[in-house]
Amino acid sequence: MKTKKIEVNITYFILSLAIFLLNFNSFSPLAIILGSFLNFLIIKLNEKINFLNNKVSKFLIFLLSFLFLIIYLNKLTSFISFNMLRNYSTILISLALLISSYFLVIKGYHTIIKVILLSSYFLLFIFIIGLILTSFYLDFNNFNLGIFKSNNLVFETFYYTFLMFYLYSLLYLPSKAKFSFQDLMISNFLNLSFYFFVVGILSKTLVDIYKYPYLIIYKKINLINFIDRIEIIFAFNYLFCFYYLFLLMYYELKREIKTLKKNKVPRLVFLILSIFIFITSVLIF
Amino acid sequence: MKKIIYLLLLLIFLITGCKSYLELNDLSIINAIGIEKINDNYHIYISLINSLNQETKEPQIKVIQSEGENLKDAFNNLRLSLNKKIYLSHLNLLLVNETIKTKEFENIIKFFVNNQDTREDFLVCFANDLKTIFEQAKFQEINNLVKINYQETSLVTYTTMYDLIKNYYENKPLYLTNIIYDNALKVKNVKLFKNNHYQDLNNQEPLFYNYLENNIQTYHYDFLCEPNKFISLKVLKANAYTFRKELIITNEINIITNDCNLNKKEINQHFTNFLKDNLGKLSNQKIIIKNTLRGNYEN
Repeated sequence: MKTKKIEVNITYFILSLAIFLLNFNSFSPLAIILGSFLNFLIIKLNEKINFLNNKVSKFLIFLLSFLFLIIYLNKLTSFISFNMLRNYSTILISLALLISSYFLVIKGYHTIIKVILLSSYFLLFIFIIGLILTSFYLDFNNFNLGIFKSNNLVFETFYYTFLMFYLYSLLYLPSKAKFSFQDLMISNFLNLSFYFFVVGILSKTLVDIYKYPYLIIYKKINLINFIDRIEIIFAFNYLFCFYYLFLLMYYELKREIKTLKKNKVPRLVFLILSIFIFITSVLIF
Repeated sequence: MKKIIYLLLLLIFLITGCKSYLELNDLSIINAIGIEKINDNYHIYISLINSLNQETKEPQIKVIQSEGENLKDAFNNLRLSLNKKIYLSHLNLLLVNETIKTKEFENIIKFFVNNQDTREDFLVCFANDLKTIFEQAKFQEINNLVKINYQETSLVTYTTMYDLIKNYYENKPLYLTNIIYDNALKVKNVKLFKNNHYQDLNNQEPLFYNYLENNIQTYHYDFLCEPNKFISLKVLKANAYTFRKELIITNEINIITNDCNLNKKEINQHFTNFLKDNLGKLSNQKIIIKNTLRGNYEN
């Protein structure tokens, strides 16, 4: 079954927010703006000369996915552990994440995209509700030139470009989907707006201090005082986005292994690599 | 295969979620904390909502004291004297005294930033005699006292934990409302914490600091125009912002009484001078004041 362009676009829209939020404190607004244009140029270049389809690029993306899986499995686990399941072992959480992803990834690219699409309406709904409820706490005094301060603009720009292009390659390689200027810029615009939104509520100083500033903003919601720890609902929302990103990286790993020719080898290699990712993630972090 | 999937789905509902479930009766709900430092040890006073008083139906409040080398130790020691789990989600008030300075504030901030339970929008106040306040007053009384005074007079500050964290990291001065207990709960003045020591702000000073911080709610301003004749103004809304190195202040004012029958221009001039004179002492910026006066008390 072929995946439609709009489906890939919505997936890109959600996952770009996820990859941005997982590295929230790494970018300044200028880096996001410059990075998004640079990303667009590289994507257009790829559409012309198709440099992503050669063996070296594929191997590099495979390698990156492998490394990212180790890092993001840890990030995802600490997110769940810090915000939701503080009484559970992180090893157990990592294992549960990996096992559930393993069975979904085996089902294939189309299933993953369908799962993302099915939940996307709900995710966006919760996201918008969160924006509305927190918008009352926007303080325009927090918008000053200090927001644009960057420690290393060049590095931040390239890092943003690199992450966004990596995300593009995850979606492009299996589906060969093309993105228009608007498709790409809407995602970047959302990231930038959300950055300003969080800074507007918390101020740049507090954004730099908190581990998850985009969750802290929900702690301010006082309208529905009777619901204790309302931010958990929004944390779940982000968790799903992060999980889908993780799924897609995991699928990339599987897709490249699948190209190995012998029949039973790929699944075995995939299983061994998955166990290796789990062990490394637990051991390193 | 389908049977296995159904079984797994059933298991999801059966084996998840309730491991960390706690009854309300098993929680020590803390609504106020007082922190002081004596001989390099942190002393904490906590006010617990223990249970409901059967006669008055009000929460019974229990005050407990604990100490430790740092806040974490103090809370760990506190746990030893409680048979319930400490729950900080309903924390509404933090009181500190003059033993708490820059280093101690850092410790406090780190404790709360790393604590996932607390919401950092609780009130932070200054009180020298923490023990008396905790024994004599209820946190709700203190909260209401500060909140109402802040909303009605703008002569006190409503400093939250967010403000404390922000000002600490931006190296800005900190304003804390000073609470005392002298047969009854009172606001004494506002304390300014700057350069690692506290100083008192008296009379109308907090009002102008509130202007500089853009924290003005509403307040009354009266001036004598002739002997025994007053002009009374109510500032309904005020905004302060910096634009091109100029401090711009906008006020929305209702004229309540005008015994001398001054016109709006004269009242405006008087009020502008009053603000400019006082704000000029605190800020080096050029101050521009724009007032909108409303009321039918003019010739």
